[in-house]
Amino acid sequence: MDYTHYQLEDFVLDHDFQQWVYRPGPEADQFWKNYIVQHPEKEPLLEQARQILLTLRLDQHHLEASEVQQLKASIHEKIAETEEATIYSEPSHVRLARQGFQVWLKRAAVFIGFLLAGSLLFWFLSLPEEMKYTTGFNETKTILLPDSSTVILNANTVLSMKGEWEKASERVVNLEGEAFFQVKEKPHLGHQKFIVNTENASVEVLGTEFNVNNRRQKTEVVLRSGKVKLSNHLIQDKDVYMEPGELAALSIERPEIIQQKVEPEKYISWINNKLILDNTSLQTVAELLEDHYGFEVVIEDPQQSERKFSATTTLTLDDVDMLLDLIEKSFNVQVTKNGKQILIRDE
Amino acid sequence: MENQRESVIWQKLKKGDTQALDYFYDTHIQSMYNYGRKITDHEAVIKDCIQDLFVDIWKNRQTLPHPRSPKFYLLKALRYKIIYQLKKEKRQLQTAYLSHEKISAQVPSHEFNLIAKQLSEEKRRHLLKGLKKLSNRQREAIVLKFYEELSYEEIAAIMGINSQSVYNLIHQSIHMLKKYLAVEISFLAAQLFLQVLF
Repeated sequence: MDYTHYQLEDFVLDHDFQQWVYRPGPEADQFWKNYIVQHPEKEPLLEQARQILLTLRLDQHHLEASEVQQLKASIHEKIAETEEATIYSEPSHVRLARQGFQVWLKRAAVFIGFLLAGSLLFWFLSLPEEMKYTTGFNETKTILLPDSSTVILNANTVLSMKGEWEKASERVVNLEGEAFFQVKEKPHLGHQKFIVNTENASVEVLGTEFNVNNRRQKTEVVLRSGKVKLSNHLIQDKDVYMEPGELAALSIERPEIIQQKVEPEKYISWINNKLILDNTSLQTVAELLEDHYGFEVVIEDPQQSERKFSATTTLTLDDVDMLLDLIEKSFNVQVTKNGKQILIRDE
Repeated sequence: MENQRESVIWQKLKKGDTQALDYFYDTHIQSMYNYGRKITDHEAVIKDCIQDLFVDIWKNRQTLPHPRSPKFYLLKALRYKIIYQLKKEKRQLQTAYLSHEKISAQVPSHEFNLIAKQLSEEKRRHLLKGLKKLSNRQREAIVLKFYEELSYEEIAAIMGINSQSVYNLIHQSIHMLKKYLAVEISFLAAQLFLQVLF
């Protein structure tokens, strides 16, 4: 590319230059540094162009998370309403012919409405109760399920289920967060299925031990023993069977299930309050700090986040200060904790 | 690549998958709202239009087109809805000039903070003053070009004008900001000159 006759406007509009300002990377950094060395007279121009590009991105408006949720809920509500309406709507010529019955119909509708509401209420009252188990930040909990299977909930997790498993053909639990399951087989109940549901997939098992991590719209299953079937909710007919020592993951972004061999203990160590860092990226550690302890983490230099490291010592999960200390030393960064916020920056 | 993945999910939406609808909402809601705010300041109108748009998409899912880029489709449809709505309510396109107060009152996003950190307080003030002077259509073109990173052709298709006009809008905006940078530089030079004198 020849930039000799480039004016300020041209740099602002140049795709490569734009990319460098918005998404700097080592390669582009090198290129533009070289360019400035060769054309020092262009440096002020480049700096001005960069400032303009940055300013252009300042003109932003965002919805708060609560507003986003509210709007989403009202869309769902509207959709539910219109779907009911389409079931009962009739072509207009039929409606005209029935004009005389309108008043009578309305009365009947009100009556039927009351009847429906009444029976619906009755039905709701007779439904099995939903049970919910939750853990806060930096807290784990062991739960004995009605079938005497055990579940260990990791921090910041919600596990819910409908009661009365004895009568049901399946034992179903819903998971948001992370949990380790030790499922008892139920031969006397005709091998009643045990199912863990997440937004992306469901794990179906007989008797086995496995870990499910369902955070950040990603579902990750690690199987320690036994056999499970993983059903994909995102792409139909893409179910997989897992073998012990396998990890299977899928997310909205990558809806195909990816399987790989792993060391299960590395993923399950949290049940013993241990943290194993083995070729773990700074990004992963930052996510752990957010998901497990409820911090808000900012890594100042995004290039840092892909750096990986392994710790020779096993860490105690509930000692967050020791973890932060280790991050500082191993990644050669400065970690500043301010209340619930953590800033990681180059030393 | 991005478009390809979204195409697969769009296909699922057409088959009646509510999760696919949620996916498009979750992924593009901030872009849509941000873009809407460049057309009008009526937050309620923007929210209503976003809601109507998703409900319409769901109702008509079987007959939906298969756009090359769902985001492009969503932005274009949203623009149409907002403008139609504003006309219907007999409100003229409100001047959504960005005032300095508004920027500071806004909850700054993570990206805003990152960018703001790279500009000095003074430079930012000057450049924001320049930004304030831009017209709605200039800001609309700018958000599509520099934030959504669409091509001139795509922006032209969304705004219903030709590519040359889009180019002109953006070029004028940059020219305007350049003047504000120049003012700032001469101001600094004057300051320096005074310091030397006294």
